[in-house]
Amino acid sequence: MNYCIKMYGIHRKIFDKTARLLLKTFAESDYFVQTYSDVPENYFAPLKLKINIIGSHKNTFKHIFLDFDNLSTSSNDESELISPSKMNVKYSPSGLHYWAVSGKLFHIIEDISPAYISGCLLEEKMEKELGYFRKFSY
Amino acid sequence: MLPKTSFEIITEFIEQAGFNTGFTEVNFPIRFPDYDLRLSASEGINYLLGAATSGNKSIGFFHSSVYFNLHNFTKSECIFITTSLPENLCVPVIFCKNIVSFKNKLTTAIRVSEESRLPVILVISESVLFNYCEIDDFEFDNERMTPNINKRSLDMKISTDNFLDNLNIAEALLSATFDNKFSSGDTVSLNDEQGTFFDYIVPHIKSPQLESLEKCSEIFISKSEETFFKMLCLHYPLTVNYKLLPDKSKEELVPILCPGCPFAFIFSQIKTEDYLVFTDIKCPSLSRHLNVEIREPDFTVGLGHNIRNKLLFIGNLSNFKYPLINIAHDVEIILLKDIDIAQEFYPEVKLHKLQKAGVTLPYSCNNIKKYGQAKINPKKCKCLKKNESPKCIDKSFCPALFKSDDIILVNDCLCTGCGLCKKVCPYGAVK
Repeated sequence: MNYCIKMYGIHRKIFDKTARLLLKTFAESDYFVQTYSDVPENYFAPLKLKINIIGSHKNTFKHIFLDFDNLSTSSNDESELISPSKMNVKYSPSGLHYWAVSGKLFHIIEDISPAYISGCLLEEKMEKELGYFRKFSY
Repeated sequence: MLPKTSFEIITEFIEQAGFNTGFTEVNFPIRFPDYDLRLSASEGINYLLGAATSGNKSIGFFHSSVYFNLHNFTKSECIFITTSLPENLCVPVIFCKNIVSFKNKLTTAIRVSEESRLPVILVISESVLFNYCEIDDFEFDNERMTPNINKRSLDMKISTDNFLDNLNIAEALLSATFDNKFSSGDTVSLNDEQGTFFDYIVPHIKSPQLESLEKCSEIFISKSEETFFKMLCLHYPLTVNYKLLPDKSKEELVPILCPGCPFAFIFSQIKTEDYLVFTDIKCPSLSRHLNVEIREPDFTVGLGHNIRNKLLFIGNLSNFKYPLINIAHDVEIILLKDIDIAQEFYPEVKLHKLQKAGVTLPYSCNNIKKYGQAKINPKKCKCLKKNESPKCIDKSFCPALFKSDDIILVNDCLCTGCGLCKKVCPYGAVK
């Protein structure tokens, strides 16, 4: 199966951390990974990253939209939207909701393992983040 | 090893290649504080050319197109990295379409500049900045094709003959490194995710890749890149049969400006519908969300001589060069103090007294400080409870404000305490 994952978020530090960990997870799950980004309009505009993870020769993609900060104003029926408001997760200034949204992704793509991200969060003693991530990924 | 960001790749490149002079165009999407010289793009180009001619390894970052007249060969490497396609050709140009080839293109650019003693322009696609890639350390090839110093290398003045010789050196190096060709039916676009693009072009020399383009019966190009193809056709000259691809629509997202954006503050203070508003600050959000036209101050001042509407120009103090007394009556000017040096010619005036040119705001986009911290009184925060759109978010476009259940919360890390949300809240919920 091939997946096209679009990620949008304004918390640049947390977005960066989540993106790196997800990219590493996909690469280690033997997917071929392509990334495309977009230049944000200003220093605080949301970062955008599109990740194509390719596991089969078919040219069809399942579209997933990780809207970390409830930023989307348009509805795209083709995409499976994962956002804090859709998951009923409280928006947190410290960006805990990013980990909930990331965790939910592992429910949709079942053949990738959340173990690498869990391990990293555990190692860095990010217990709250790990709690949010586990709650939605397992 | 986790993937590296584009910023980390560029920083490593600068460190390992030993660049000692740099420049960043104002509002370039990635910030390099040491290179923030508050010069215009053309001033920055001249600064880097001067530094490279005197033997300093120089690197510059631009979001506008880079063009210059070269008078001397450079004594040291000089690279201009830009996100805009060239509008004219003056030196070798290398293109980087995706992050995977970024490292290779950077090392090739430095080698070509070293060997040809010419500055090199590296055009990167939108997808290269803010992207991720797993890369190892840079390795620089120390073997030179041309001797380091010979009689000709001491003669720095450019003539037609020696310029063409050096362009040929660049072409030889680049054609040995890149051998991609185009085929009929290809999409040739720098910023479209699909398709392919030039690896390089050298002025006046048709590369094998350009020749292959001419042989294609039909290619597809993006509408936004058509000007570049027209320029190529005129420069070489070249005949290209192309069809235009429609520009792709982008995902609609909530509009966001920087916290404390001086434009948001100004727009809350004066009736901007009475004015045509111009700025030379190249922030796309201003034109998109506030309907501000991005133009140089010269244009606005010139326009003011014969126009019915009132004109308002908002720009950085460091970039404004006109004596205010000579400006036409209907041009009003707000200057944003982007430099710390005291500007005694422009006294700071309170904004609501704006009736003529000469108001200076004490800060700019470049130096927004944290003035305080907004606090929301949940009892008074009523927009969401009444199913109304929250005025504080709608009018300030501030990323520090967000909805949580039926109230608005403030992200302390982002809030600058500019007070705009307090000003626009109809219920007095912001302290």
